[in-house]
Amino acid sequence: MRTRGLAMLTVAALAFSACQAATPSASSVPPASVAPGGSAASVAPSTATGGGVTDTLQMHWLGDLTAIWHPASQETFSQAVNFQLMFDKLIERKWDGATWTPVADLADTWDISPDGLTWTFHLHPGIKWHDGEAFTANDVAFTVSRALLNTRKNTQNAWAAVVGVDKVTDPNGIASGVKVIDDNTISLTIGAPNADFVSDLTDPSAFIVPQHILKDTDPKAVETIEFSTTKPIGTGPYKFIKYETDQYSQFEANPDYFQGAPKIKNVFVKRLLGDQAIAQLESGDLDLSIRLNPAEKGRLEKVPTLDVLSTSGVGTYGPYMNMLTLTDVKTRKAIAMGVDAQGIIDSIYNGAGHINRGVLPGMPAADDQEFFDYDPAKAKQLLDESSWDKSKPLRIVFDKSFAGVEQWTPIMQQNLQDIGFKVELIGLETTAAIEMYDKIDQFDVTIAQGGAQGVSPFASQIYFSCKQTEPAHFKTYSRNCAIDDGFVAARKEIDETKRTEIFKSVSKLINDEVEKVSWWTTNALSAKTKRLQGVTIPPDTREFITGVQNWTLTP
Amino acid sequence: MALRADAQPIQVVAVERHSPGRAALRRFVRHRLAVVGMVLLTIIVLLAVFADVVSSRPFFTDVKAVSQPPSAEHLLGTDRSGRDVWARVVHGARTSLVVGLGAVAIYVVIGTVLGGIAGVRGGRTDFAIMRAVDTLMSIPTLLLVIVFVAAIGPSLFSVVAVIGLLGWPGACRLVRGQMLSLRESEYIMAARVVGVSMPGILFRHLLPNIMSSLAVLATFGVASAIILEAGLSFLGLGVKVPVPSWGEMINAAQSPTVLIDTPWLWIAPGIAIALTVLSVNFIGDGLRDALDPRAVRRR
Amino acid sequence: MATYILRRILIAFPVLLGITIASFVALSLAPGDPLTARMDPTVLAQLQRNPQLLQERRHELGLDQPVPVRYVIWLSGALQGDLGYSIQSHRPIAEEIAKRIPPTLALMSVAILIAVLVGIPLGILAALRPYSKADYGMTTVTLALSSVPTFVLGLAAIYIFAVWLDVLPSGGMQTLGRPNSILDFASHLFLPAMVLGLASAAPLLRYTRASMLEALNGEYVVAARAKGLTPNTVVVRHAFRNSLIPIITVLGLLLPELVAGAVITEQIFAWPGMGQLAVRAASDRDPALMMGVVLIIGTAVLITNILVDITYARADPRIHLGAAS
Repeated sequence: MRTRGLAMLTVAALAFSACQAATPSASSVPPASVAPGGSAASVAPSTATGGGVTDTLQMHWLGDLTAIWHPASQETFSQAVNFQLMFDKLIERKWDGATWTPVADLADTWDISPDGLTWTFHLHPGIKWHDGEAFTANDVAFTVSRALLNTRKNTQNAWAAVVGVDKVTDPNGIASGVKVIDDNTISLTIGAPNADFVSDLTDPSAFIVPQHILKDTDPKAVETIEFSTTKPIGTGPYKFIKYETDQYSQFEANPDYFQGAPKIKNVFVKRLLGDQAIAQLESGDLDLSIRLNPAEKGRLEKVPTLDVLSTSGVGTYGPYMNMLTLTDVKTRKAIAMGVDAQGIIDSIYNGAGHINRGVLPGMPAADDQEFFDYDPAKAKQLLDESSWDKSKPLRIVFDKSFAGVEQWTPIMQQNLQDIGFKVELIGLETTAAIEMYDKIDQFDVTIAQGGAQGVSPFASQIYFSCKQTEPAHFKTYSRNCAIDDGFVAARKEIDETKRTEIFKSVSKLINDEVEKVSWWTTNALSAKTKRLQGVTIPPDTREFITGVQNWTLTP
Repeated sequence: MALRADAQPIQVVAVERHSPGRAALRRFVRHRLAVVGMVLLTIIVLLAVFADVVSSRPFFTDVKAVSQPPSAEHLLGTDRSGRDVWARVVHGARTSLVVGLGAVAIYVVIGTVLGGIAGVRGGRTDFAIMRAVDTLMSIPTLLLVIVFVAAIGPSLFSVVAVIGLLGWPGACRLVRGQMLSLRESEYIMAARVVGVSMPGILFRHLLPNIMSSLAVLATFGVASAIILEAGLSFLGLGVKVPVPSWGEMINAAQSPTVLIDTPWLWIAPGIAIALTVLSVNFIGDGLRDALDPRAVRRR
Repeated sequence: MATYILRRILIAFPVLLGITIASFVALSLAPGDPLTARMDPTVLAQLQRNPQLLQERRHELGLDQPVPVRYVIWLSGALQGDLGYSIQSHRPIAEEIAKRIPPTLALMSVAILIAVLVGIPLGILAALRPYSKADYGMTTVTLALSSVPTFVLGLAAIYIFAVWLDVLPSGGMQTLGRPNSILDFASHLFLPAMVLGLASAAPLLRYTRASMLEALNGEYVVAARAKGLTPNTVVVRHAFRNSLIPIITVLGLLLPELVAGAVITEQIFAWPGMGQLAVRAASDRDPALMMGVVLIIGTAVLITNILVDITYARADPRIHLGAAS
């Protein structure tokens, strides 16, 4: 995990704005144009054949999937993609290309008390669950209060910050920090000022679930109840029809969706391998695919029926140093400066990427921060001056599942050997790599793949928790408590200018350790059929489903 | 028996004139394709041995020349990391030949011996050996290989040893099946009656009879061992990452871009595997003719 | 014969037990952790930060027990027909496997049919005209076929038939969003079955050729020819019948090979069968699921082996099974 690490964190954390609420009043599409819900068998045959289907969207998101449809159990990105189609959160976030802003979802507006502790949400009136029951503030109170009782709960849970949630023992009890004011108004009180609470609210674990269905279920059996396995009920733009294991999940438009009835009737989210997805895009069996291997860009661009979208994305690569074996900062600097990042971007990723200057995604760099640009001469000199024994192999562990990593690690190896290191590459399959990170005396560097812009820097805080001793790989971190303290201070600071200053000082501290370096960010590669209209792949691919109800397919 | 002598009297005479070994060699050499196979395999082995002489550095990456088509500078083009494909094919031969030929040789020998014992002895021995075969065959091979390689520690040696030690059930069943049939045949009975020792019978009479099936088994075994090694490399259990092997190279064709847009990346190792397998096959044919004096070649 | 079959069936149970023990031990020794294998890094990072919760999750999944205890728990469940739950989907494994058997059976039976229909006749043909151009042609093609991994063949087939010619679907078992039909199913089955079938036809062809050559050189064939029987009768009645033993063996060997081939074919064609399930079990390190798959495949292989041995005796009346004891 650490290698995929850092801000990839928040790919899950902040991700997947279900049902963007930018224009909550846009429900002017007559629901009559969409047939009411039906079973899988009743899916109407499309009138058109081959490429002209306009009522069925086939899309794909690359990644592992846990097939439990209760948002509390969110542990894979692919799960969250499905949640986005069927559930809503209180608030959503919108990315404008540079910064993100919270926008309305189930809550039209919200107020924050001057001390930053009490958040009052004014819910959109008249929302209905997929089964026709009315959605009220009680559903929110129920979701929040039960959050920590659920088994398989996602540990990064927005609701944990709400006062009293950790003390709830009765599955239908209401936490002390939760106040239902009326059917459409609810307030949540958090224990301490938290600059990141608003982004926690947009986390996939913050989807609201129906009280009327779940109140009689056992929170200790989240994974086996009917709601989680076959009959999830949400408020979102699409109704869940079924999931065929390892094949696809099927959805049908929710004609009563409060932000407007979706224009495409059927949506299939397919489970495919990356290479299959490429072939299916080319053959017209797939309309939209996110998170493709950037190295396949050239091939897809030659296909006339496809739009290829290359957006600044989720592929930040760089070395994480094992601070137990690479004790000399000069050795670490030599590694950081010894690799031709631009050459790798140009050759392996066809130029679809850029050099990174900041230490962590979303964290502003300090003005006097040192940058580690490729400089083999300097790197060689640093290595010569360092205490590193050059006859020892420099053991670099990496997860082979990262896109393009098998192509560029030999180049990295050669770059580092050119400056005097003896490099041993240890490429492992994901699970074996995860296990390897805890064998802390068996590697010197791991290759990290991280997230992208727009991610809150808090997502990376766990890598700097200086007192953490479990699991073993935490011991390879710098353990500089000033960094952790900086994060804590920033979280408490509600004033944005002051928080930026704190982040800058934290950035410098982290940078000076030369422990977690990011070399470059590759673009995210997505592709869609030209017939699919209304899709924007934000710089952050994870928000792609936003506004799905407005997508259309032309013949 | 009389029929046989009547049918091919000349050959019988011819065989008796020389020592069996020399006669076999003569028959092998007469099999033209077997000789071609032998020459081919020798060339491939020589290329592997002198890889450093006939090619440049297989690890050298050139970021300015990735995925280049074949040219004067790079005979077979360059791969996605800018490495010379020709250099990687000839260096990859070392890994792939050791795995392909080594592992298969080990398991063909084990399988033949155990299958022979099972088929000839029958009874409890047969029963015990065959249940071991059942067990080994019912567990996914890759799983076993993964576990054992992980236990010994990944290296070229452990890959060869593990595939070799776990791959024998197929050969065993095949040999045993033919043994069952041959054991009851007239000439073996005759040989037993005359008092020829069992190992003698095995070597003289049964081995030539199963040679053709074994050759086929070995032929396909070589190809699949080479490809299995690539699978293990992918799991981090094969040879160390930048060390080339044919399987690893052909694996790159999983990417549509490589498969269609840069085919030189996988066609070269593909042909290398095919040539190796083809020569093993021809050599197997030749061996069968050489060991089996009855074999008539009708042209 | 009947006692022999009965004995084989009885002994199959301890063998099956051995298979499950070996697989279970192998699985627990294999690198990787079932709890974390599938998790996204972010979730895992959070979880690892909270050792107590990690422990709780391990306990929920029974992963905190020692391997022998876990095996006994699994076995006692399996004996009562309860194969447990998949860690990944948390559905009953028996249900997951039951869903996978029909697609896999469809794929495998068609593939075997293709392999037999292509492999055996062509093998006989090659043996009748050994060292001819046709023989060399087949040799080259089959060996070239076996030198390229199945996934490359599969991907190439997808590009040729689904992308360029656009006559067949690129994967899956049905056209999504349209009613199911036999024709639709067959069109989806065609490519994976062809790839799997032809990959298996290659060795079958070679074995058939080899043992036919062997048989054609046998004295009984020479005798039959001498008797003046027509060439066809010689080939079919005598030579082919006598070359059956190795062919039957190979057909028996083909099943595990097919299972292995199906893993890749199903993967590349998104065919929802046992092979795909096995891959998921392995990549998720889902022990109970893997055991379920091993149990089913093991049983199938055992049954095939028994059938093969019985067929030996049928094909060659001289063989007395179990005669020695």
